[in-house]
Amino acid sequence: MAEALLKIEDLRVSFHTMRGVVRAVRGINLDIRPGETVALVGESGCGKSVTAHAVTGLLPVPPARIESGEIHFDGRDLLTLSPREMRALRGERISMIFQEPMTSLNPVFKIGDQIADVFRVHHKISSGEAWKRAVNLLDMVKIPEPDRRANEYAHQLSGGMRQRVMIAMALASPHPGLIIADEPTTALDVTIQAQILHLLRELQKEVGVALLLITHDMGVVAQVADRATVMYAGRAVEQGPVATIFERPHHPYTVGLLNSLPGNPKYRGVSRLEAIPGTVPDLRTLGDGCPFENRCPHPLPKCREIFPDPVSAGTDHSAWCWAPENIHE
Amino acid sequence: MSTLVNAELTPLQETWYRLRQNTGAMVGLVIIVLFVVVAAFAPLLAPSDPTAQVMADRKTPPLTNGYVLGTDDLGRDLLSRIIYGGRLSMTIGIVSVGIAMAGGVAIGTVSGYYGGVVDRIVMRFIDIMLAFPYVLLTIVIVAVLGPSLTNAMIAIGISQMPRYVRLVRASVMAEKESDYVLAERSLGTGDLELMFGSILPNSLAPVIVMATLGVGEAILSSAALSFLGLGAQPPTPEWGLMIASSREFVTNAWWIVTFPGIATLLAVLGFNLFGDGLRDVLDPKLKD
Repeated sequence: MAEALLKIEDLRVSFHTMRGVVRAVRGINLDIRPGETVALVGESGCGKSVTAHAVTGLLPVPPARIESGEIHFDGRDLLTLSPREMRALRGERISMIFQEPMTSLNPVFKIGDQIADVFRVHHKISSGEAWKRAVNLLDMVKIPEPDRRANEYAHQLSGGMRQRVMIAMALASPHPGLIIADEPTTALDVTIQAQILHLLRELQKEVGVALLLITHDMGVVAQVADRATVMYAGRAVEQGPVATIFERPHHPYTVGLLNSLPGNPKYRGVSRLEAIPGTVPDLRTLGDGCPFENRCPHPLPKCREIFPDPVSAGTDHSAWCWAPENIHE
Repeated sequence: MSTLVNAELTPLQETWYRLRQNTGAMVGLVIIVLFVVVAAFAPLLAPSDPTAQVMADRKTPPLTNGYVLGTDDLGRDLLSRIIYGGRLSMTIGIVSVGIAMAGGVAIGTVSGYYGGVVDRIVMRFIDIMLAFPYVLLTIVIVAVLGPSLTNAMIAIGISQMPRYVRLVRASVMAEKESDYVLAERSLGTGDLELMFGSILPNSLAPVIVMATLGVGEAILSSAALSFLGLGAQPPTPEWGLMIASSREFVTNAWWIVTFPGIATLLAVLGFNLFGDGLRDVLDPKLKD
């Protein structure tokens, strides 16, 4: 097994707000090997974006505070880097793609200039050369007529095009090691989603960059990811290769997510999709037990008290559940 | 239809397209261009030396003896003096607004971007400056620096600065939360580049409007300072000074005091009309 490129160990992040302490991430472990795609799955507010922002050092401090944990990237602990070193790393080795392609591009600059800027900052090359490379990148992300498009502004492009531009910007770094894609397809319509995912996958193979994909959509996970971590209320509840998670889920929350997929064969001829009953608990008042206890179909008395240790569910596959055998009943 | 037009135009072209449909702005622009051209070619356009005194022709009424606008109490050609005065007024307007804008934009951007303690200190200082009436503050600064045209420009620039600080700070605060700022930060862009390279260009529209209106106000202020003897010194052909030195003749030689006044009025009107038009065009809320 290759050495991990990114290794997150027991990361804990909380937000100190006026209305209490929100423990957004409560001990996440995650590793990504070079060239691999790992998905962080979960619903809104489960801490997946906070985890990603902790990696890039973009958490707003305060109110955010990293309580404990280590984030190793290429052998360096990111949490001990100075802001200057962190900034050099961002864009040079780690890039991000955001959810809203509509607002993630600067409205007053030509898109070619924006991509060229990344080259200028990190490669120290002339602006003419940077522009040429920007056009090449636009071609690489399959934007038709890249010469003409480079001269256009963000408002002249469609959502899918803008997301392609964002991907191009992420690829403009000199030694791309890791791209973090935060819900890259959520704001796009379904046909464009498939194209963008396909493109991401293709470019990733071509460039050999690792991808941390943040999503709430198990369908997206199935399409692109090699491994996945399912998160719920700040904790990892199941972690493993995508194939085995889909085949033999070991946590009731994962089962719930899979059951709510419209593509699930059991819905053939059924008129309504299944939902997970109940709502996400308040992160300010949540205790130390299993956070999913109040929505779990088979809760045990001890679930409320203690969060379980991981149970092995196969090679490289673990679930944090006291009774994973119950869910297949 | 207009969305189709927008899709094909760069922001600059779009602004120009919308500006052309605004009558007031176009009238203002014509006046400004006229004054700028006259100021630029003053030596060619002025019929005589603005400081040359012809004692025999003192207080000649307009359209007499070849003097289009007449002469003043020392026999100097009024038209020439007003043309050369335009040079000064344009310079004063642009330089003082330049000072105010450069300082205000720099301070406001830093203050709005960093927030926190920096912002609080800067804003309290600005509050102190705003607590003084504008004219009083200007006069105090000139009084400290000593009366001269250069010092008047500096004084007007400093007195106008607080409003730019406030304006830029507010837009920068709103703009720095945008997704594209986070996106650019995630690509390793540093603070300085983010502030002045990314956020500021998006916050400039209201500043441009305020600066245009500010030029008119600066011209007026400098005329006022000169009138009070704190700006230009005789025999400089400055409009405010011309009005001041001829006010005693208003009853028997009305033209000496009236024409510099009209020139001031027109110049200020031009900048105000154009500024108002720009505000209409650049305000995103008024766009279709």
